[in-house]
Amino acid sequence: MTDLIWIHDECLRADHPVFTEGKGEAVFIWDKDYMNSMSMGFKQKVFIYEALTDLPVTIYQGSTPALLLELAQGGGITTAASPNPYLRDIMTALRARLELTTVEDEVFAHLSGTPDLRRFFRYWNKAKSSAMQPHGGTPDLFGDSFGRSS
Amino acid sequence: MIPAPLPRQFPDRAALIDHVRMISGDEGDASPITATDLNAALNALDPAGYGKTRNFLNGKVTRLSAYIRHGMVSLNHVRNLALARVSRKADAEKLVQELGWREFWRKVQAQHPDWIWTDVEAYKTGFTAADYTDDLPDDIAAAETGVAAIDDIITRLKTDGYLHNHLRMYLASYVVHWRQVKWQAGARFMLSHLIDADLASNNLSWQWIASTYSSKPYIFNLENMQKYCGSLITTSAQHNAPLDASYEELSARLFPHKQEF
Repeated sequence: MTDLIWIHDECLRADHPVFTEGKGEAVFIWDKDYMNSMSMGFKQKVFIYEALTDLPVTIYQGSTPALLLELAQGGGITTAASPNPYLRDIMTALRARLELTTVEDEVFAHLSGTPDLRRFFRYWNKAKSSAMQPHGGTPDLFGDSFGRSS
Repeated sequence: MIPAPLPRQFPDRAALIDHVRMISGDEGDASPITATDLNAALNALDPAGYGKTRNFLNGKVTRLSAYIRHGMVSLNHVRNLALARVSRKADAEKLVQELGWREFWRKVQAQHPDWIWTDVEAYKTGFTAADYTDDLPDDIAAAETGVAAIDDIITRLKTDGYLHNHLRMYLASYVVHWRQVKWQAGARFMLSHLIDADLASNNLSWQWIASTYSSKPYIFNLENMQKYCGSLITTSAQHNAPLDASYEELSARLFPHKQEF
């Protein structure tokens, strides 16, 4: 059993929290099928490979879920959280076979509750006061109404 | 069986590019923008200048999109830097708001992954989705539309792997509204050339242009291009006839069945 840090194409920096919260060797899987499913072009692939050469990561070529399962041998995998449905499908496949931990990137804006995502400004009107402070300011842990005098 | 690791060191960039050609089976050239240019882009960050000039082709845009897309720098880091570089917080607001768009698209993608490739809402152009062509016409892919400004933009996209946001909007609008092509075909074309290609930011922005994720279609005209691009792309009237009209004329021409303008 080997613990791994899975570095994918959305967390290519050495001080990403996934490196500090994960354990074991950091690996990137050069997966042509995944890249093609994302419609990635040659220029983006070069850009990604250049970024990888600056990271403490071992690069393998193959199918991401199959190779990660083989490398981990039942150990745990830590990776960066992502909303990308293609990455999420891979994460779902991995979770069925081993323990997968996802790590969020640094916070941009603290939001209380689920924002209305039908239009940008409905989101932005709720996010702006936090987004305009360094590190997003202090999170409003108790929602909009808690602690207010009436 | 576990394969041998791929190399991480190369004598020069050309050797790395050759290696990527070999392992990807792709052909083509790399972008002049490299992954190692991040610090230069961060050093050049000018939030106040961005706020005033971002819509101009030679404006003080950040060129950070590819680094943000690949997590090479966090939105938090860029925001903190922007706030630290201004004496009045308001001078950083436009830049922080644009970072907010990136965060917004990611949240939408997380909550509604199906919206990445399907229409969020109906087109508000007087046409239905069935009225739009499925495939990107060859002349667009080849930068041979005959509309000089559009061909310049496509050539720039294919050469640099990067476009200023305003150029992305012009191209997307031309593809969907002038040529009546489904936004999905244009989005896929752009994804295949951009170094910052991102399903959420790219595809949902195309939906915004198309009006399937906004209240009205986005269109532009030649006068707008001339204002924001100057002579950096070909904006002469004689080479851009389909774009050379008032907004009222273009709306009537492009959306003849639309009830309200």
